[in-house]
This record gives sequence, structure tokens and C-alpha cells, in this order.
Amino acid sequence: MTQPLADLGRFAEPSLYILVSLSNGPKHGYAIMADVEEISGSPLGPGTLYGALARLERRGLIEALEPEDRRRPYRLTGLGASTLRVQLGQLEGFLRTGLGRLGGGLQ
Amino acid sequence: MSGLLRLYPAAWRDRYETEVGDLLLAHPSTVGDRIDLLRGALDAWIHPQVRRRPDCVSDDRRRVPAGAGPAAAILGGLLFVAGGLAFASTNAIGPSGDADHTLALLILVSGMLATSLGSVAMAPAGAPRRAAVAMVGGAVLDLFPWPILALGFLTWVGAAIVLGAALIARGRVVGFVPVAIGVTLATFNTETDRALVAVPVGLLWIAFAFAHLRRGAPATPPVPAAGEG
Repeated sequence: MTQPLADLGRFAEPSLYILVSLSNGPKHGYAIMADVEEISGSPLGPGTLYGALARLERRGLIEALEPEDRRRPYRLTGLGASTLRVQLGQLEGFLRTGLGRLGGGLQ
Repeated sequence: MSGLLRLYPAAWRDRYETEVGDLLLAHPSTVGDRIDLLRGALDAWIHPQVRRRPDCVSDDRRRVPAGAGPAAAILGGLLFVAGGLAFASTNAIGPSGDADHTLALLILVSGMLATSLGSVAMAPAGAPRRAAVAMVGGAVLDLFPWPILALGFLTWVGAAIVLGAALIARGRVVGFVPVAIGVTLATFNTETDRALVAVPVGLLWIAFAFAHLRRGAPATPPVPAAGEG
């Protein structure tokens, strides 16, 4: 069963970005920060990054791997992938509704 | 910048300080980053996500070598194979006239103990590791005579299934192996050819160990702390 990210409060959006970032393979913290900045267009601070990582790890949505050259990669778990899929599905529905109404309002 | 990390709780620093410190060295920091770290420290105190473990050691000082768990599981798997074959092929007759399975039982229990200890070393913290510890308890009980032996055996089998289920719940497909081991071993019978089920069980343990080696051992995740945030 997937757990919504909404109960993560201010870490919900960063957590979603992190899950998306890890969806194409494991990354360490610095790579996640760079990737999230590219995805979202806004930088992710180290305090927020590791606050979100800790929450995601505690929920079993991601897991830490053994350090490589003092850098510890993280990767998406099966639960994390299914949670991300659900979240993105909800966003897609929301996006379609919003664009549909916006399009209808302009006509 | 790294001085700001000292504002974080000790448990958090045990877990994250090294990697965050390296990130700060590699990443040009801004005033915004400093403020973000301060907020993060406050959050870590108010909503702790990491609890300090009594046996906490830094990642640079592992008390158990990374390969110890798989090595124990492989050894235990081999002992299972040997024990199953010993049970099936024993021809020794004890004083009572019944087949003497003492040696075979000792080999098998040694296999249960070794695989249990290997599971403790390999399992992530939380429910999987608790289940693995229960397996150790079951294996220890098997050193005692009947009916404690039976209780130990059932404990070990049940805990192996719980271990597998806990791993599956975390998205780790390899968890099906301990489940299969527990279910298979539940049919074990020392007096018949069912003793040979210990052989595939042993092979499954060896496969489990290699699967663990192949994926790379996950680091110890944060221990769930009380409170939410």
C-alpha cells in the first residue's frame, strides 16, 4: 500500500522531486541536488535535501547503498516506485482537469 | 559551513554528517544554503527521523565486515545441504535400535544458526532484522532436546517467513527466498526422505547470499524515531 507524500508537510514537494530524480537510477546527494534543480528550475538546499531523504528512507521509499568514494548513493525501492507512480498519476489527472477548464474558459 | 552540522542532533550526525559534509565541500554554498541548514537542524530536533542506536558506530568503523553476512549464509547453506544428506543417508543405529541422527541434527542446527546470523548481518534494520534475530533464537532452542527443539524449529521457520515478508514489503523481491525456505522446511521430516528438503533449502540460502552480494548491501537506514514530521 502506498503512503501519500502529503503528510510530509514542507518536505512533500522536495520528496516528490527526489523520487523522480531517483527513478532513472541511484544517485548520491550532490547528484540529486543537481538533478532536482534541473527538473524543477529551483535549487534544493542541503538541509531540505537531507530532511527529505531521511523521511523517504524511514518510510522505505528509498534506500541507501554502500558508500562509493565517501559518497553514498540512494536508490528507489519497489515501494517508492509504486508510490511515485500513484503520485504522478494523481498529478496527471489534476493537470488534465486544470488545462481542460482553462481551455474551456478561454473559449 | 560544516560547523553548522554540529547543530544537528547526534543521531543525525552519526548517520549523515560525513556525506553532507562532503556535499558541502563539493557544492558552492550560499547564504540561502546556510539558512536552509539551520532550518534543517531545527527540524531534525523537532521532528527527529533518526534515533541513535545503542550500538551505533560510524560507517567508517563497521563492526561487522560487509561480506560476513553472505559468508555466514553460504556456510549455513552448505551445512543445510550436508545435514539433509546426512539425515537421508545415515545408517548408524543407536542403542535404542533407531537410526542415530545426532550428527546430522548437529550439522543442520549449525546451518540454521549460521544462516540466522548471516541474515542478521544482511537484513536492514527494523522488522527484517528483528525477524532474523528471532531466527537466531529459534536455532539456539534447537540445541535443546524435544520438545524445546520443536519449538525452536517452528520459531525459526516462522521467523524466516516473516523475514521474507518484511523484505517483500520493502520492495525487495529477494524476500521470496526466505519465504520459500520457511515454507519448504516446514515439510522437513528427519525420519523419511523428506529430510532431503534441507538440500534445496541450503541451495536457496546460498542463492540468497549471492543475491545480497550482487545488489550491494544497503547501509543501515535511519532507525524510526518517535514522532512525525
